[in-house]
Amino acid sequence: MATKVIRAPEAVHSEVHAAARVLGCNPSELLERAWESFRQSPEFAEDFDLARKAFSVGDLDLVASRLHDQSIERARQRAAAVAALRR
Amino acid sequence: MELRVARRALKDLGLPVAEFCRRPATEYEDAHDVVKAFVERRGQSPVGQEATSLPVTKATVYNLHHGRYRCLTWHDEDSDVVWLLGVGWHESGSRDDAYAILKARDEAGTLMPDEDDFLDLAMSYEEAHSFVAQVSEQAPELVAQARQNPGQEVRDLIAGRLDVGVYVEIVDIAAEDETLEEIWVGFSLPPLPGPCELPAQLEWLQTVLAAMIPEEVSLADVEFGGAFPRQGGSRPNEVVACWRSF
Repeated sequence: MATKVIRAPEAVHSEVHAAARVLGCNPSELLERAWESFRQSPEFAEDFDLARKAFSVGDLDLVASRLHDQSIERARQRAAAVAALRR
Repeated sequence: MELRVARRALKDLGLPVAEFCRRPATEYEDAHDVVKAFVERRGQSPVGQEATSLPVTKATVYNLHHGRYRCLTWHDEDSDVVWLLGVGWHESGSRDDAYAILKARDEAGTLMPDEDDFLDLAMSYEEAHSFVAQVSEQAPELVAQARQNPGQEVRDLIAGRLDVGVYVEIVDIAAEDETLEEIWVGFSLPPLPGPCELPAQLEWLQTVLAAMIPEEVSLADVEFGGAFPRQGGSRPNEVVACWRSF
């Protein structure tokens, strides 16, 4: 049940509506499912648990390395996305 | 939003790439009049008034004039960065169009920011370690203070940039003769300006919560959202998380 308005980019808005029709639900239910899937995703849980275990034993290097690696990966992905803007 | 001069544009301006490529333009606007003009104008609005269509890249870039300098800028919304892409020089009376030269770079694939430019934006290991070291001390300390003062919000800055409130409520479970702690954390957004480099938002949130939430609490039991239990509820743009532990 929708309770609040969320503004989404036009393309995302259209795809969410289309996907909701395919799945036989409304867009707000789809968004709720997507959020639950994300927070239960291995990536989200793994990063969180890795950091939590590392903090509990004082292994700050491990957390810092992970953040650094993620930042590098994001930079590479963004560069690839910009290169893909070439027609 | 950050203002950045791409490596290619630094070369156009004759500025030392190694010295400036990892820094926001706001930190060295006095190094060149064009950088100053870029910071002044795009600091007010990430887009200009005069758009230019590029021959190859599907992106809207904007002209920026300063004296005889002709520049192109691009607002990369996904990274929330405005880039100064390239700078041309327009000779008085010349028929050469500085913008044509910059467009030719687009055809050659050398106008838009490349991997080196984006890696310049990335967090270094030293920056990441500095952030983690501050979080490892300050985040658990904030929770400890809130646990000593149940029913009161305790606020502090983490890493000098993250304005975080923690509230602990002790709930008596009479039937089981036990108590449980309900712990609320509210992160005010956006982060404050400061010298500590932050990871991407999802990652700094995960890192701070990982330093706060004990291992015995399952991630599935952490609730995101909800109203922070202060008078007036959550602040605008506040990210709220809550968990319970016996």
